[in-house]
Amino acid sequence: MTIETQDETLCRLLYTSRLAAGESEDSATTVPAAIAEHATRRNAASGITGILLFVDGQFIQILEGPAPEVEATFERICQDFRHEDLKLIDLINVDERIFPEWHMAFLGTDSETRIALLSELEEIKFLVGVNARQAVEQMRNLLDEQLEAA
Amino acid sequence: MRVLTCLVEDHNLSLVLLAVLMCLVGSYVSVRLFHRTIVEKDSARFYWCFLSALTAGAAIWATHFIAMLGYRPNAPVTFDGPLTIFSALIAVAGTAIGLLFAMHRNRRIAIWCGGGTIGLAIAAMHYVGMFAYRVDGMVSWIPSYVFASIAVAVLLCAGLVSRLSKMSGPLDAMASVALLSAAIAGLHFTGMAAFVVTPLAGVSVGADSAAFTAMATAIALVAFLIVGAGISTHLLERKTQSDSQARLKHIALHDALTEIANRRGFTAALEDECQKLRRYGRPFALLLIDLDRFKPINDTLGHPVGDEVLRRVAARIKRAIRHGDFLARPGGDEFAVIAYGIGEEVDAVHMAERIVEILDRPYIVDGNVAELGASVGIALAPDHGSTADELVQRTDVALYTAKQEGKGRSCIFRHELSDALERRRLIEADLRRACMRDDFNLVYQPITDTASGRITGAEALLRWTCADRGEVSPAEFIPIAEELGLVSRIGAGVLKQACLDAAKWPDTIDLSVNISPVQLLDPRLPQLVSQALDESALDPARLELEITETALLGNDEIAMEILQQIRDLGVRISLDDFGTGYSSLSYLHRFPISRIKIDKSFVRQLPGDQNSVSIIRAISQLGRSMDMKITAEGIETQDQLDFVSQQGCDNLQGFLISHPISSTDLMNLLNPTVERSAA
Repeated sequence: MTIETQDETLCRLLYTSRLAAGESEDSATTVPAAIAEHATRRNAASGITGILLFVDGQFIQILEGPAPEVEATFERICQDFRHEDLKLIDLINVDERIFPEWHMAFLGTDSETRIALLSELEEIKFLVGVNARQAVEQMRNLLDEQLEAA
Repeated sequence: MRVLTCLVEDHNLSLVLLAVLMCLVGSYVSVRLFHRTIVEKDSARFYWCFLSALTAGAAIWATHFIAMLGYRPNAPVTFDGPLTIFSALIAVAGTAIGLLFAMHRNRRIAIWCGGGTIGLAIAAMHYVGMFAYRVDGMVSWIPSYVFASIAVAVLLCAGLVSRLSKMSGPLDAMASVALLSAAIAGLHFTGMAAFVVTPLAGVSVGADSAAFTAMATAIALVAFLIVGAGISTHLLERKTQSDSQARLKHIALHDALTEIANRRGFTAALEDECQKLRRYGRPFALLLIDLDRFKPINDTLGHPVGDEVLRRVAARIKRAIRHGDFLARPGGDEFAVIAYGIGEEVDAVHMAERIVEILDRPYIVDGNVAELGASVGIALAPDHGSTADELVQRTDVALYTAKQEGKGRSCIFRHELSDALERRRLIEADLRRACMRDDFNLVYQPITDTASGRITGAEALLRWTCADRGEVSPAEFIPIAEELGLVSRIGAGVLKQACLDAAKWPDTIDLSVNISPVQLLDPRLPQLVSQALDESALDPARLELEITETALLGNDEIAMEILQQIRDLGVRISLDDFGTGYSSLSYLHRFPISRIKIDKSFVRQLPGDQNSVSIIRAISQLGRSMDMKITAEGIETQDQLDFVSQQGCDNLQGFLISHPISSTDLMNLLNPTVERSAA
């Protein structure tokens, strides 16, 4: 059985999207968190890990795991109308996970978000459009900082 | 009368009732099985025949035997075992033979032989059973009742068979059951009336009624079991059959790949909805969805990936429409939605936009990323039509327009669209005719030298004056000609005619002719050019061919080869509409280009628009540094002329200098030694 897990090709996917305009104002704070929570439960079963950022109405998400599972999860996201303007930024095969302990870490901006976090999130948002791989590392770093701070 | 008194006085009523129940139930089941046997086509009918005969035979015999046991002859009774069993076999075998006759194609044979055999089988079973019935007393038979009983059985069974073959409703079925029951019961009790027993003196009276009742119950039980097995086999078979029929129907109306309705299913659903519209006035929207860029996916990633993409497209459309809306895949990469109850444009457009949006998202299949999009055409019923054909045709018009307008969008039907399409169709027809008759003519727009202001050349422009609709703009008919594959032919005519015209002009006047992308990829182009030059005796140095960048995109190898050959003839090449497309510097560098023509869209915005100013400045500098001539097109004002002159453009062209004119007018313009000063 262990062989099976070793043989699996891992892949990592990065995409961005916007929270659909149809969603109401206050849902901008609840929907992303709900998505992350639902994802955590679902991903635990399918062996997917990753992180979900929510900045200024924009989602930045990393999915990593066995290729078929990542494909299936991404297709589900593509069928979800809570997302809008969905863009696939990067899809690569990887040797190991960057977020092995997180079925779906969630970092978002809400009223209590500290200014520092906000600016870092903004930076990642910018970086995604320029250098996807670097953005992924930055997201891991940011998560670690948040964990230390907590 | 004797039948009735025999029945009432000489029988145990509860056993008689049991026999009647047996008779009715048995008849009911038998009739269903008989019918099934008769309508069955191939060899299966023999299995049905066996099952029917077994069931009916058991029922008939059990009815007879139970009734027999209920008979009280006032004398001791015993049964001859083998003979009793033999009577049962007669019932089964006789019924089987009768059924085989009943299947005969000739109706008379079927009715009389089939019905007759079954009737006689019942009778034979009865009388053989009576011989097995041993009474200790004087037995005598009344022949008239015997004959009557046989006649009753035969006639009723013939009636039964005649009904069976054309049985349609439950009423027929009831009548058939009644006929068979009447045949069985009628024969039995009439037959019993023919049977007279006179008890012998000194013999103990009465049969062992308790034992008889037990025996009757046991026989009834076994017979009911057989009858039950018969009917359940029948019902089971019918269920399986209707299941497989439902499955076949599903297969016929559905697409195996995506499990949604196919073209037949779609047409049926649309017809159905149109009928509902007429009956109840319920509106609906029809959406036709055509995938953009799907074929490359099949070609490059393979059909399995293409198939998976189609499955996901179906799944995604389902998310975009409402639960209960009808989705179909009428063909290849085409889908259709019938959106029930939608009567407002906004709602239909909203749904179409959701579909466009969701289908535009990426598809990851086995590690491949497939990008495709969708165009959607919409028509509303009843606003845009109320028959299936009309709606499909109008949705098609809308879809076609969505595609024409650049794909990845939806378009709702409007009557103008139909008109535009109609106009296009007419133009197509006229264009074909014009092409056959060479109905085109050429005009020439003079090009001047910036420094001297003298006319140094002219660009040949195509004009088409249609007999019905007057002058048709090249912007309208050239794309149509391209689609119809007429461009090469028209282009060849243009080149030849232009060379002939130019040969009459003074030697200092050059000729430019546009070459379409299609022509440029035609390997026969160099030959055509040299032929045109030969026929007109025009100096190759005076000819310049204008090409556009788009022709080079993705085909540079072929284009390069052809352009080089043309260049070898001594003909120059210029790049038209520069600045509008990719404006790749590598093209300028790699291809044998000697002139750049700045597109009129930049010139038109001079000198106010800063962007255009910069672009023209940059192109001019580029031309100088790469040793290429620059022509500015579309000059309409003195300001524009002044500006491009300053920037160092070598040649000028535009309405300010001259509109396109005929070859004769051009010669007139050139001949009277009056020289126009441009400055």
